[in-house]
Amino acid sequence: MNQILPRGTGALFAGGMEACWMVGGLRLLETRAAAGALPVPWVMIGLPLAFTLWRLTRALSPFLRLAAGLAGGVVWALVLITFCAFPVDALPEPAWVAGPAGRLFQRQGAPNPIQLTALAAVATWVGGLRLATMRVGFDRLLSEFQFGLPILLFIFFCAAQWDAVLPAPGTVVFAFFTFFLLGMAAARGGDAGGWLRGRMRARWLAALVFNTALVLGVGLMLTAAVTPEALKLALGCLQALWDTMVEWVVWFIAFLARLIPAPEMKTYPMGGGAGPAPQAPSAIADIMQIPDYVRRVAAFIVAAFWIVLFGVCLWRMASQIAAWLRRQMNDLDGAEVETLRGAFRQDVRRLLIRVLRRLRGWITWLGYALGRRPMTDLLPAEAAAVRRLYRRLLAWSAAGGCPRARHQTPHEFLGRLCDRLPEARTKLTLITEHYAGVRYGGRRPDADLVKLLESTWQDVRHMRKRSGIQPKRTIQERE
Amino acid sequence: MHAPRPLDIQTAAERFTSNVGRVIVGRSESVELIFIALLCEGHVLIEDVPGMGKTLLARATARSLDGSFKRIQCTPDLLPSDVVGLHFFNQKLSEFEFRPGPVMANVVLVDEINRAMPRTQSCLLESMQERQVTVDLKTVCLPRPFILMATQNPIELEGTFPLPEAQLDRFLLKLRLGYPTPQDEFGVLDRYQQDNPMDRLESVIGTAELLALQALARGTLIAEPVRRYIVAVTRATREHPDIRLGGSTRSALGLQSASQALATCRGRDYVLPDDVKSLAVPVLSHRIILKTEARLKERTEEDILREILDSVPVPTE
Repeated sequence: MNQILPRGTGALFAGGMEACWMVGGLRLLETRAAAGALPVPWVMIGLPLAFTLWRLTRALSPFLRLAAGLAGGVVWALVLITFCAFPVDALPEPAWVAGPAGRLFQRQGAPNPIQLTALAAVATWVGGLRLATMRVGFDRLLSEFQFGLPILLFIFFCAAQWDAVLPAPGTVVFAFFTFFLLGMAAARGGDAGGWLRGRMRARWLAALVFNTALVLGVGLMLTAAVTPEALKLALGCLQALWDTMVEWVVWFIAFLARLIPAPEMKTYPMGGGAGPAPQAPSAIADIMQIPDYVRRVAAFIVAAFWIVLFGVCLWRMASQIAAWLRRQMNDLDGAEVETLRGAFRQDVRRLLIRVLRRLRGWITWLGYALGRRPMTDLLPAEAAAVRRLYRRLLAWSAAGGCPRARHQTPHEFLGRLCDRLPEARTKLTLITEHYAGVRYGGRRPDADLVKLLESTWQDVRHMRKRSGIQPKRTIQERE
Repeated sequence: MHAPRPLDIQTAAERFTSNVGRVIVGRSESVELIFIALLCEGHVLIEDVPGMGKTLLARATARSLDGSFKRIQCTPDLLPSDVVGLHFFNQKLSEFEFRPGPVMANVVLVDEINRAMPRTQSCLLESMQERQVTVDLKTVCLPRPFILMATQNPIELEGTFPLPEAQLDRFLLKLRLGYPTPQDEFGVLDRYQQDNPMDRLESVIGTAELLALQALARGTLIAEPVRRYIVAVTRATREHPDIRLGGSTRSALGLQSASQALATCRGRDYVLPDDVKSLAVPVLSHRIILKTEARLKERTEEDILREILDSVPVPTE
């Protein structure tokens, strides 16, 4: 199913998709920030250059290869800003040597086109290096598509918001989908049941062209349908919905506030005259006042935090959907499709059962939070402590990229954990053995043993920190 | 004799394994499984192609126990009375006298069981489950411990009668020996070069000791979560889309007792989910029936059971 493509072919399709959204982004940057001074075609040359350099230096050691790649990027950025940002006829003048460096680090008027060019050159170079190091197969192409499509949408959304006119957006989208579809066809082409080898091999090109035309047609229709007015209407609806929700929340808070008894009004004796003169603000108050620029920076940080959080949420959801799709497609590899009576009903039933289980978990947690003691609290304190310690071990290993699968027994999980952290084998075995004794054997450990396990657990944690081992995740775990 | 402890079971297991190992080279896992069946007083079905040592393993097991041993060679003309016994008229005494069949022994080897006719196979049902036989309205209890070891050849189908589900369900374990490794095969040639080590094999476990060990194994703690796990695994066999007939309640009971025995063999007085997982395939594989679609996909009972074990959540934190 996941056939790895040859290095050049894979890079062509993945790089093509990458180049599409890069071009879109650079065009937007050029329109908004560089006032048309960004040499986008030249910048994009960095992508194949970096790829070629990385491939050519494969005989070097990894360190030298990395150094060569980074040095190549720096050189490429310098060359680009020197030869593209300055007219050729100015090259003989001695000022051009110091000019780019000076403008590169110029703080006034930042970001200037030179800085943007350097940034774009470095970004494309890194993209090229990334292309050269990855092995492109079906799953990688799917990931690239999953990665590139939201970026493209984000770029077009920003362009619509800023009223920026991007040159040939339809072409970029068409190229993006073309690279994706061709890449998918190539990745599936080598399969035994694929189009290139199956009975339909005579028609795969027609099917591919049909698919491409379909995507293009749907894209054109969407382009025609999604006008700025339609977008404004949709945004207006969203805004109205949001306002309604806010109104409801405000109304609810006001309703709650009405339930609180109002403070009694106190009467104060009316004084004559204008009263005492207002005091001048003290110097301490001036010091305690937060400057405006600090407020602005804080507001920016908070906004950035929320944007990143939102982006991570979106990315996480998209990853889950893509992983599910990949699993489904892997399961379908070589399968003959037939209709199963009641399959949909069964799927819905399973989904409902899972939702109910999750709900039950939340209710249990809520009960625990509200003071209802779970079963573990009926255990002796030491046994409960051992179980809590093992739960911490599980959470810790899951956070480190080694979660326990639901079907794994503690000893099976121990083997897996020891593979990741071999120097802690003895300590992990001690914890697991005692946990198994408590959980399955009804053992009642004494306080000394709990202390020993606690110290062992702390040793394991510090051992991990000292060794700085990052868990090596397998493909299955990533999925 | 002092009351046995888990350590005694571990020692007895080592004694038994090493004794049988004098005759059977390699196969330590199969020998351990047979010892587990002895501890549970469960019956064992050994299935493999000819020449893999099925009968030899059964004979070595019987020889290692200090009890009576009988062998039944199944043929298509074998009658139930040849197995359970019959009443014959003693002309001297002028009365009917019961002549017990070969099933009246502590260890019974039923060789090539699938060559016997269904009516003969069925006469073993009562003895396997209730440890008694009924002949002419007279019920006779079998000696304890009673362990039946049957062998069958899955390749030759002509002149054979597949075992009914009711009978398969009465076997605690099903073993497949498989081909030995080249090193083990060389060891067999080396060991059997001069003489047959079976001739020198002695018993290492008495029947009274075995009964005591069985009682001890039954007392092994099996916590509620582990019992629920056994139920979940058994139920999963009934709900799997590739299985036509899932495991019975008897299979869940068998899995429980076998897990207890395995835990004691490993020196523990409580059962772990690992014990259940390691025994699920030999205990359940012969009790489930796959759908035709699954067979056409060349899926085996072992594959499906491993898939089930990889999907049922283990009770832990």
